[in-house]
Amino acid sequence: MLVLGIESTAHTFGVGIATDRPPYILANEKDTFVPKEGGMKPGDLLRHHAEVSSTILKRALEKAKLSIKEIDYIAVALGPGIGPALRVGATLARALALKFNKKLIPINHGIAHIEIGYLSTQARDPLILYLSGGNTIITTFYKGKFRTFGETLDIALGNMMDVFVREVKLAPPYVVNGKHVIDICADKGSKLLDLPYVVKGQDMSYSGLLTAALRLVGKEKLEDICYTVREIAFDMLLEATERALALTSKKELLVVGGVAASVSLRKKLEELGKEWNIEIKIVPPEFAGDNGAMIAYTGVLAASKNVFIDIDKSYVRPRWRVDEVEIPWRN
Amino acid sequence: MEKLKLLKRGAESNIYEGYFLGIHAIFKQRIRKSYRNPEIDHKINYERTILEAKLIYTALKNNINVPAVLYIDPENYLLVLEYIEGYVLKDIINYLDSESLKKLGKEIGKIAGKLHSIGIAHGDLTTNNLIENPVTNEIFLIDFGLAKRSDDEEDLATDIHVFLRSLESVHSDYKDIIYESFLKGYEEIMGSKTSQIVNIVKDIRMRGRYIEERRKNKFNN
Repeated sequence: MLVLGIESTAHTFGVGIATDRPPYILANEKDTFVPKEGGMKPGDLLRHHAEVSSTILKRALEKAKLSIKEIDYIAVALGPGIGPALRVGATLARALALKFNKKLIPINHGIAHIEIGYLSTQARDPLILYLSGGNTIITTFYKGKFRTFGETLDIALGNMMDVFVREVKLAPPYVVNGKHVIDICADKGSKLLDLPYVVKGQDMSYSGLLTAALRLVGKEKLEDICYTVREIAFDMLLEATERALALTSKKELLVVGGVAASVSLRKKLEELGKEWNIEIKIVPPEFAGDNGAMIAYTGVLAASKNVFIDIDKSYVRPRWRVDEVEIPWRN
Repeated sequence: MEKLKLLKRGAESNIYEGYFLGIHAIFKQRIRKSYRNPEIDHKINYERTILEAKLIYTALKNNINVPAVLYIDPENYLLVLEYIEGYVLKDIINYLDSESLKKLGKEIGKIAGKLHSIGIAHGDLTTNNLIENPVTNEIFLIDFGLAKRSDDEEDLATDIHVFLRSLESVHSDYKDIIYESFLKGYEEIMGSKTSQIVNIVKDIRMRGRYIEERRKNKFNN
């Protein structure tokens, strides 16, 4: 089985090709929009994705040495994400499905992050941290769905850090040499300031931390603010994670999504792993950020259980939660 | 102090069983976390040890089933509490019949209501923190590690949200029956405030990211 997967939920336009046997991933091509200033404007994303889509599609097929006719199914991330960005991927997927007479597979972007995590780390029954610009979710698979144990009650951890560095003019770019600029700034700080630490059960709240941190700008050294924000944000996440570990007794912790690449988070996770005697499995960088390969691979899993969608029903779903998705291919 | 036996490794403390001045007791020793920033770690452990003792004592004075505080040593993050005999609800819920589940739910609702009526939010109201005495069938609430004084309906609603979340994730088949009777018990104590708090619970659940209903509600209001 050969599945072509299209990702366009946020700043990355990606096309991947996957199959149902090793090496599973045959191509993973992408292009990420980096704003000259400010954050991601939906209109700019649309323009970027529309401009690069045909090139990325061609590159993916060349990389896999396949023609579109040899592809069995088209998988597309229909959500969650930013509407105008999602529509570029959905439009391309529908066009390919119609023109070449292929079935369409609806993919939840978050589930794809999780499934590529299982594949690339060989995790078996993990507690999962899904951390990205838009998501901070602690979840695990149980009876047909990924159940949410904890999540952010307002903004995502990644979003909080992005907005902070943008507001203090450290970004864009948000990531330099694979390192988030808040990490680069925080490494030069050392004084812990008084900022709110909010864990409610297994849920976290980051909006108060962001507001309070921005209020300190100009009153304290920026490096110390970066340092405090990072330490508190990650420590909150790890405390909530630890609670979920206690409740579920899982022996593996799988970390997926763009924030999984953070070196300082990795260090803290490794300490947590030692204390709990659990394996920490972090998705490798090539599959950490948004990519098409994860959509294609999840498409392979979905198609094996006949999960398809009619083209005239393939609406984008900007608010499609991970815990709403039926997962017939597990168990 | 006699020899302590490690009962449970919790998320933030080790729980030991032993005897304190001859009384069967739980020793709650908060743990330093190597992953955590040392300053954040000390502040959290020190403040939470004191606060937990104060809140448990307040609950006890108000006739809520919680362990008595026997001793506190904040510098060493140590709290000594009365030992509560019984079963952790998380371990037994999935084996109970629906009548027992109803009774249980109502009882938990009453405990939550009593606690809220004296201005305490528990902060981690899960089935892992409720113990049933098999002889008297009384339910005890433990682990006030994340509790705080609050009259804010947001905090009270968060307790109910966390409880509901623990039902959904570990006892999903029995969630509805327990939650329904929970609300009955809760209403017995909290009365007319209940519906308002339940509305906030719904609101909190809507705030999670990517909830489709959220959009609809916004426009309907």
